[in-house]
Amino acid sequence: MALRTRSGRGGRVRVVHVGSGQRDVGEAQAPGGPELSQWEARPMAAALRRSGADVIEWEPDREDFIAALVRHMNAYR
Amino acid sequence: MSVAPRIRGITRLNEVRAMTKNQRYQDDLTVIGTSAADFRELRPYMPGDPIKSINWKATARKAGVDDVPLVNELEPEGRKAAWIFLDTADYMNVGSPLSNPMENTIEAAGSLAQYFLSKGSTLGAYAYNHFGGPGELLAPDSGRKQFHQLTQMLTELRSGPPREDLLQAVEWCKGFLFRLQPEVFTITRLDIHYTRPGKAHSPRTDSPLP
Repeated sequence: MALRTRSGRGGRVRVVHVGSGQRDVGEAQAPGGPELSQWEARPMAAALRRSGADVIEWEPDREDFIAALVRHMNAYR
Repeated sequence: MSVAPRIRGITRLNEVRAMTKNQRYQDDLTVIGTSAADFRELRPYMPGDPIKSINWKATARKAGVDDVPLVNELEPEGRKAAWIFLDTADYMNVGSPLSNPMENTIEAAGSLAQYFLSKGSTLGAYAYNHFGGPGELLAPDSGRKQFHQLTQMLTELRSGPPREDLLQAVEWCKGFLFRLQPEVFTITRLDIHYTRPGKAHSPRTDSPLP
């Protein structure tokens, strides 16, 4: 992956997926908007993970960014 | 009246071992900043290397092997670096004016920047798909002044049509990324599938690096 190469030897590549959730006008009327957003993001997230990047899925409606980041970091302990 | 982005401190990360285990000085060396005089090795030239780092004598000695000059790799000095890519395309700007993916992206970038800069790290950022032209680049630096400059940049961000993708943004910043070898954070939406206008789109040929 180009980004991995560019980041050099030591740096990790972390992609933060900002969920649009029910705030997205187009998804506001559909039940389960956040779930739909996560489902739509899943193929790209899987491809990024296969390429060696970490994907942090953040749903701002449910948790603040710090909580999402701490949850992600704890997974790497 | 001044307007500033909403930024929350990430003090809780200090308690997370995975984030802090590399904060010791010896482990957090980067190659930017005042270069140390200690020579480490010769290596082939890579895009982004300063011209003055080319070892012309060594290059001449291996003339004929290939056309790539050799550069002096010096022992790094400084602390860990971080780089933030922000996607500011108009698909980020949906929802209410106060709370939408764009605002959340800005908040996350500010929080990350505050964390890394408070640790003494070098930080750079690039916002792609910025309204009205090329992306917004924040050249890497450290300290409180850098945080103020980032805050200024975040305040002035406007979403634009998705002209650039991440790959182009990386190409644009590759000189810095080669030199810094940073931890890279990319903040975007992965649930957007759009066709970038343009196979006809010509990549930018100018470079922010000298």
